[in-house]
Amino acid sequence: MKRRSHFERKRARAGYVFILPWVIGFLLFFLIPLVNSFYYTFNTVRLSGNGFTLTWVGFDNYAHLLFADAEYPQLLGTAVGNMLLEVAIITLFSLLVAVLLNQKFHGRTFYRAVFFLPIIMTSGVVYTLVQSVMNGGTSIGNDQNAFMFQSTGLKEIMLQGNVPQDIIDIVTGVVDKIFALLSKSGVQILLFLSGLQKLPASGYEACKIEGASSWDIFWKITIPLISPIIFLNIVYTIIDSFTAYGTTEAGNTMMGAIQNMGFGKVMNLSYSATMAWIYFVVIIIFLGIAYGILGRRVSKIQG
Amino acid sequence: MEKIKSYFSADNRQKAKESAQHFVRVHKPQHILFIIFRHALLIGLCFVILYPVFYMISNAFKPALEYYDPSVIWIPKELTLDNFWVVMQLVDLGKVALDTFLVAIIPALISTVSCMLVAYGLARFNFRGRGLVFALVVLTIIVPQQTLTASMYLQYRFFDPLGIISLINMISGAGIEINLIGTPLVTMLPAIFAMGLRAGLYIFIYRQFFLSLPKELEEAASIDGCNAYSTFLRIVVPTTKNIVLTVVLLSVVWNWNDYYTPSMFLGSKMETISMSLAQFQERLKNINNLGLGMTIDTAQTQVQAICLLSIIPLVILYILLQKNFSESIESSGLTGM
Repeated sequence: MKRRSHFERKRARAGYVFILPWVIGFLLFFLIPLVNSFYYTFNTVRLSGNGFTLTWVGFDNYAHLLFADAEYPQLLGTAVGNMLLEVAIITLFSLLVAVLLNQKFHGRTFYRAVFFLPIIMTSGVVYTLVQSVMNGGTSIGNDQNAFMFQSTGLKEIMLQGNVPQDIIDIVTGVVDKIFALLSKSGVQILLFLSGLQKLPASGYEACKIEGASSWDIFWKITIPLISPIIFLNIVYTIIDSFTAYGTTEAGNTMMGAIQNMGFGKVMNLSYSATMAWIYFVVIIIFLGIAYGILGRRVSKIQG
Repeated sequence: MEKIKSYFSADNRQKAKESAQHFVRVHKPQHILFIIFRHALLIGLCFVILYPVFYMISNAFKPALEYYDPSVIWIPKELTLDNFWVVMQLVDLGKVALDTFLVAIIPALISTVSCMLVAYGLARFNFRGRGLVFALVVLTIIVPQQTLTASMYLQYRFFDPLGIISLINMISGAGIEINLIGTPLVTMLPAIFAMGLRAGLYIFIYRQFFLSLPKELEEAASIDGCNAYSTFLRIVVPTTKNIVLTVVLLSVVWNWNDYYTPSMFLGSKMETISMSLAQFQERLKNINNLGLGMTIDTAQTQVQAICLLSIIPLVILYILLQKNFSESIESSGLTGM
């Protein structure tokens, strides 16, 4: 092996200095907790006065959740189904919006500003409240919280306008879905737009001179050139869909279930950790599939 | 006045007419249809996005009793601040502001700095294990927080980094026990070590930016005798304004809205704005039970008032940083292309 020059070794040392904080953080706040939580999945964790005790149970936690638990496999299925649907719809929708926003026309600064607003508004508790406004409070079926979401918003306005009930249901349903879609596509639109901005204008002019139609240019030039972003967005959407977490009302999602198991009434930390680990493995599998199908093609196009 | 006159002058009118004719000549009918379609679609989508904001504003200033008044749709008959008054009685806004500042804002700002250092190290220096470190950064994005929560909780409850505290206890015989639960350190410590909320994503964004930056400037500085650290401070940092402000925006917003980490690790000792929002319904209900003259129906206007309070700072921040945000999308390598 070639010996590194003095300069190179000095540079390498500076590199280590820059990433040193991350290495400490990675050990303390990621690797150790990750290994611990993996260890908990083979144990029963009991909290006691000043500490906690572990009892080794082998694969019992896994066996229980996968074969004896009524809800867990179902939750996994729902999460995967949602993810597949979201990846398909969000990728197409955000690409469409980004292409529209990338064109030159009056008011596009305003439109862009509005389209990134969901990133701000809908990443927390407000989202649950906002969404319930959008669909007139039907999404939260929990009686306990119902009074909070009694707003009928859009529905009320249409009722006052004597709009037939069927149409109201359709319109509120669609608007609700569009809102959910918009609120989940903020980052993806941003990434696509950023990628589209980078495409060289000269190439497009050349195509136009050669007589290519806009349709051809889109499919044969734009799509291949932004395929790395498509891949990035699909990966982001897979992760986002799997790890999306609303509020305490999100008990019907995997994230909520994991939290309730560990920190709700049951307080079973080992089941909670096991649920999270199985889920994590499923996420890794799907990311692997996405990489297997798309990642290679993307790197081929990139050369 | 002169300006207006000249604006309506015959000359200008002629120009406007010509440009309109030009527009029709250049654009084919299907193109004009497409322009109309584009605006209709975008306006429709903007409406869906802005609707909840209008709804929030409209209701926050509406007298509670008007909420079910069918003659009031958007504009209240009289504006009132009563809803905010109720919110202020139920929520200690001063304490919430301070706690949110300590638990969310400060860690968010620390994160933007610490992640930039790590990303620069990954993008610019050749050292053994660089590829592995980047792969592990991506891994931290992929692993759901919930996988770590249980052991993180125990780790904060009996804080003992690398066994140092146990060692001290063993040697001195003292029974030191550090409990970080309920202190802002639960978000500050990870942020300092570039492991805060969504830190992996910020490292990724910064790294793409640094990779797209031309190396020549730094090489020139290096030839002139700058070492790696002063090159970073004097040459690189000044170029990062837009990308830093973009990460500040994302980081502050996501930390501000984060409910999971505070609710897990703060217990009841501190209360961030996201916790106030989540607990607000519970408090309203308690008032109802006490019979303080509030009925279930009137609560919605107060809920909208606290929602509005919670997003106003974010919207102001967004408006302030919007320009840098757009510029960094347009000019820098947010996606590394």
